[in-house]
Amino acid sequence: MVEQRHKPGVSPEWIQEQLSGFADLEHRKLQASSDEAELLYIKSVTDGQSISQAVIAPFYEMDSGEAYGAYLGGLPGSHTEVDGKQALELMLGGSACIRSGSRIFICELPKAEAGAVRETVTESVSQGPSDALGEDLTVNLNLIRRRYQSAQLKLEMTVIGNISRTKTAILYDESRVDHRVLAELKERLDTLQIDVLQAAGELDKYISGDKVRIFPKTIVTERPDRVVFNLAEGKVAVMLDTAGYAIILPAIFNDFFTAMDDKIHLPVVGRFLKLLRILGVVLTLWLPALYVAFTSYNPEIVRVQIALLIAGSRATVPYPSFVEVLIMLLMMEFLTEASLRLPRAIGPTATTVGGLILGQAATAAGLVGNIMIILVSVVAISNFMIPLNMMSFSIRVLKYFFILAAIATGLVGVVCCLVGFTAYLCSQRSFGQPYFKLFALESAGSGKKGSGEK
Amino acid sequence: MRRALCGIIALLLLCTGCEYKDIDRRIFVVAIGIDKGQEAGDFKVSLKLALPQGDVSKNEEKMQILTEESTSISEALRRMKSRVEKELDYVHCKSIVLGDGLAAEGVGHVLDWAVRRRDMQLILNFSIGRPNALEVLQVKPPSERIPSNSLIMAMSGQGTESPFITSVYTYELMRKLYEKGIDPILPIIEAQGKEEFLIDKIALLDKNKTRLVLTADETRLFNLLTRPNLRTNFPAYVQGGMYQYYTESSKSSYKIEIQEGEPLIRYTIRIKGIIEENSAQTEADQKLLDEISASGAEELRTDVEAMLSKVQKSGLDPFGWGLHYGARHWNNETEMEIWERLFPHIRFEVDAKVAVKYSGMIK
Repeated sequence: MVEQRHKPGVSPEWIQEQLSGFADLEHRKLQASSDEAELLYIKSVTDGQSISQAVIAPFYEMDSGEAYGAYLGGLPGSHTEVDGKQALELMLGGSACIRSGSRIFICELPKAEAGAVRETVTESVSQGPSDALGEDLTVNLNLIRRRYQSAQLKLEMTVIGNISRTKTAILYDESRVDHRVLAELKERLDTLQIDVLQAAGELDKYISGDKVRIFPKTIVTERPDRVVFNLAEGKVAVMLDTAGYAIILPAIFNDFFTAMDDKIHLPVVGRFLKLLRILGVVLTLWLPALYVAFTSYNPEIVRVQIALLIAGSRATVPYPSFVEVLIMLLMMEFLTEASLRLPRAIGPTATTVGGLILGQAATAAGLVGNIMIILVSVVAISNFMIPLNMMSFSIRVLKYFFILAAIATGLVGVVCCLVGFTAYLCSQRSFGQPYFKLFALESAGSGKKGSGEK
Repeated sequence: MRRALCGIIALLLLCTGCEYKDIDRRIFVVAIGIDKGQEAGDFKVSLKLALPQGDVSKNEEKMQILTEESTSISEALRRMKSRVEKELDYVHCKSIVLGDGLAAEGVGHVLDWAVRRRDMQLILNFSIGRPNALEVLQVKPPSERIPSNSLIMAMSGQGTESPFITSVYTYELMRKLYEKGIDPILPIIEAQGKEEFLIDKIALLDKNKTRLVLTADETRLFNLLTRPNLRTNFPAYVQGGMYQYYTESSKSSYKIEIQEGEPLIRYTIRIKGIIEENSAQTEADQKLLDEISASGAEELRTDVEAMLSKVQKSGLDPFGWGLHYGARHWNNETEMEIWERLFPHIRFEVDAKVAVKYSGMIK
């Protein structure tokens, strides 16, 4: 009684009010013959089994409310004297709030999803957390909530798909999110009429609007830390049950070149790595196109030494340069695709046979030039420097446009193509955000908006 | 709409543009030599073709030289087209060598042709070949891996940094040929046998043909006056001993002064040096260094003055004094005429200061 007078605010109702918009908040009333109790907890961060064993079962087994109260007070990790702030922290950290009679207990019953969490596969970092989002939505929510313990992190649940009935969670930080983006997302999700939804990338396709797209408008990631990082920047995350990936929106071009270990490295090293990635994109996009342009239209641009070297290496090649480039690039694409599908044990064999033996044999037979092999390797390697797979696939396709332009008009074509794509990128919007704001600060998205000169 | 787009792309693939020609169907001309032909007025055009090596690991150089005589350069080139199986490509041509005989008759015609052609760069090195252009093209130094590379390296300064070599680009020659108050120069390349060439002289031209050839020593002084930080050595004589100092840094400038109607060109030369050679093998103390500096400056002064007077006597203006004078006077109608009249009366004063700072590594 005493503590209640001191902290009148802490009650299940008050906590419920604070945690409004939490779709994973569970509120139960326990009713026995004579006694009554109220139970409140966040499903994704508390352990349901312990709650039923340690909290619910004893309620029905105990004779009186008094005894139950005494039992709860004696439970390890149980708190009675807390203020509102502490109560919220405990709740977000994985506690259940129980009102038995007039007394309030907050018992720590956190859920740790250690065993079920798999390691990252597509977005590995060198020094950093290796937890990946799994296929179970509650596990995923647990992973996020554990890293983002704020009452502002709201969760809305909806169901997408007439047949698949995929549970979909929309996560956002109430205080930082751009509400226009949120409203637009909800509207698009509401109007979505599909039967089956099985992957996060699929959802990205449905909600992004345009029919023909080359660049991804949302980030598809398997890293909970990336989700948390972006939530803190005011973005919205959508997670699907059974998908294993979350999508984050709105996404700008620059986001796709940010790896999660940029923050881990020293500033100079981080910048250098980012620069490397951009250089990699430039190489993988242009090298094949420039090769065609230089060998077939504008040999005057390269030095005479290189021109003679290329001419020498192409001396035995029986077909024009662009056929050579296309054959080699396609061969590389086959290799990439095949090694993705192959069982893991055979993968290295395919790479060795394909990469080394095929390349060596092709040059020895005089079907392709030496320079071409070097070029294709550079293109293949640098393509995978992009941290996010969606963008890396886009770039992979994009280079063929540049090659087409180079075949048609040489260097002029490459330059025109570059100008064209830059204009296209500038015209794009991701949920109302300019897609190509390359040099804007990453944190300028929400919190600091308007605090500057305007 | 989409079908139309696909159709267009397919068509684009079929008709590769009109300039499409693979690099292995082109043959690169790396140097052009132009001599006088057998008959008066004819040109004897020689092309040095670089053939790509099949095997890069082998250190062998393949080249071919085509020679054709005709009444015009264009005609000679067209005729040579039917003597090779690939398209002649001039985009990598780096030097044009004019025969000594042709240069003595006039360079204007060849220069006009070289500037007009759109596939020839304006940064070709122009030079005069002795005894004729063809023999210069035939020189094949054993150290060379890519045809004509040694010529390119020597002329561009990327390789040797010889103080005797001056390079002249097409655009420079063109500019100097038409600009009032400055006369063109051309470096002379002498073929010495089949494996060596020598570039250490320059020819001074009037607006059309060669008039005077500077010796190697004069060429070095010319370079000292026209470009900063020339790396060379100059002699100094102190008490019967001969010393050579290396120029670590050098700069020179000049002023044109009119004193009581008499034109005076005052050259200022500043050199910082290091002793490189000491015939007396005496200990080099500060006093000796000062003496070497003073003696070296005096030596340099007389040499430069002699060279300048020689140039002035020829009536040529390779330094661009006239241009300098014209740029600093406002009487636009008459200034060049006045300069013409002043030119024979120019006096030269050379203020050379040599500071030999360091005696070399010997303590």
